[in-house]
Amino acid sequence: MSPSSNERPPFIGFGLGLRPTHYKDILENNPPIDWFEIISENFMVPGGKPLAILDQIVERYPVVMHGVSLSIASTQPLDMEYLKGLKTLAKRTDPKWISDHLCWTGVHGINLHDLLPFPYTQEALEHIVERVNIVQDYLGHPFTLENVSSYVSFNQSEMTEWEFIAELTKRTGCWLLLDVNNVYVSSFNHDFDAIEFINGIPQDRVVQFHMAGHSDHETYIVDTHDAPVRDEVWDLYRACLKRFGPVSTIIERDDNIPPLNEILPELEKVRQIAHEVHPKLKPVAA
Amino acid sequence: MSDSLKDIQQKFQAAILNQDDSILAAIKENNKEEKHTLLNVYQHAYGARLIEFLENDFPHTAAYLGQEAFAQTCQAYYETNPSNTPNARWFGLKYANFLKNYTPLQQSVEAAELATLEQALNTAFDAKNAMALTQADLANLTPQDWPTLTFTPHPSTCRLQMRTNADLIWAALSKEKTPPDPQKLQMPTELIVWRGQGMARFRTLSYDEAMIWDEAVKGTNFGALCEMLGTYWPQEEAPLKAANYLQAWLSSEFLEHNPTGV
Ligand SMILES: [Fe+2]
Repeated sequence: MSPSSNERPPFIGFGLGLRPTHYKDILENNPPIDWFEIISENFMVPGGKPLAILDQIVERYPVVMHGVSLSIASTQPLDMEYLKGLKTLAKRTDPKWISDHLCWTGVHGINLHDLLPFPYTQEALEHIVERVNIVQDYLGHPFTLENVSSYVSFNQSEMTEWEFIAELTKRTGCWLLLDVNNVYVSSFNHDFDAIEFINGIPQDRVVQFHMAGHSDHETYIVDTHDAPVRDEVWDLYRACLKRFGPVSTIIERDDNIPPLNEILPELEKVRQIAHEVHPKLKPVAA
Repeated sequence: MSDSLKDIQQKFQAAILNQDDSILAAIKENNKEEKHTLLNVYQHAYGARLIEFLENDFPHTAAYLGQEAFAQTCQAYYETNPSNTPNARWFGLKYANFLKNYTPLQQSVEAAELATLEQALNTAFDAKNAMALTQADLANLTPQDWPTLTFTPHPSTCRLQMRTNADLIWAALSKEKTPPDPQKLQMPTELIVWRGQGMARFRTLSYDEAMIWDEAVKGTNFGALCEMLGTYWPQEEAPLKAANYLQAWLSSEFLEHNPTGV
């Protein structure tokens, strides 16, 4: 039985975003990784090797589905075909939860393939609340939304990003995927205090953290996911652990992806810090 | 009056697609950087990302054309065919066809054919799964069964005709060798693309094999295929030829195990 959307997903430890360059290494060596986050769209294909590999991964590791095209904040209608595809994939992978981003990706039937910002208004809140309710009812799995990095903000915003997120999760019961790097990037770009952001997020709603690297352009920071996690983000991770307790975490690397054995030490650091902050934290059973 | 969410999204999208700057009025001043520079992060990322998608799907076309020329074809493509799919995997579906009609490459038919071949391989790679028909499936047929036997192509198979040496260019590039000079052919090369053992592959077909494959796919039975081969070979050799071709198709996984047929 799949967990219902309002049931809190379990703590599943420390994992990685599954990337094709690591398939072989994972299947041959069963590395000690607690779980994998898969990019849903990569497996929304008719057949062939990607799905065959996914089936093998699912046999050995818990997975979570992470999508990029739900476009929950878009003013164009929800793409029910896409949701159907997600549901089909969920039958195959039995994910611990399904996530996407608090953003929009396009209007007028166009997909800009980017995670785009919008003003934090009552209008947007009501619009998104309605859509989140539809999505979580339809998917029947715990549904989780991630904060994105942004480079612009809007004059119209009536509240902060964290106030918006807090209200959204209160009103829909959806779970949160806190991208620690994105909080840092946005705090720099929009001159807010990252600690104020995390203190504004309800303590009991965060079920996953993302850790990633970014590129510094001096006057702004771009969330490139192509480098190791920066010191400032490690500091923020500690603060997040203190506030939210032990939370399932992955390292998210999308570009310039090193071999698995070079990422594993970074994942070990993710794990160690969590154990430092929460000495009683038990490792998840293999 | 302030913009609705819908207005904001329309203007933001116009800024990305058409460099239309009317969204700037809605964007908040930033202490560290000019608003238009920040908006440009999105504008720049858009094109870069789509080119990256196409580069992933058409690595040999990209290598053949060279970075700059390839990027130009990509830009021309996304400007006329913006993505309308939730999955980046399908964004490039019309790219090869687009190249065929792309005026600056009108003299380079081989480039469009190279892209067509890469597209066919991509499609075969994650085409629908189906059990392959094997030698063993046919082992119990009686001699009377053979003439009326028909075949179903595996969903991953696809036929192509090359009017240039694009297949040889592909082969060289896949070994990171210098590709041969492009050549227009008097007679086209017949190719079949398929997935075997999980890998997308292609090979050439002789003209007689191509003919009976195309007929088999249409549902022509084995008896008729043998007769057709009789136009290429002495009538008494035709059944053996047909059997050899069939054996090759079976071992390469060209055919689908069709539970209602065989
Ligand atoms: Fe993330």
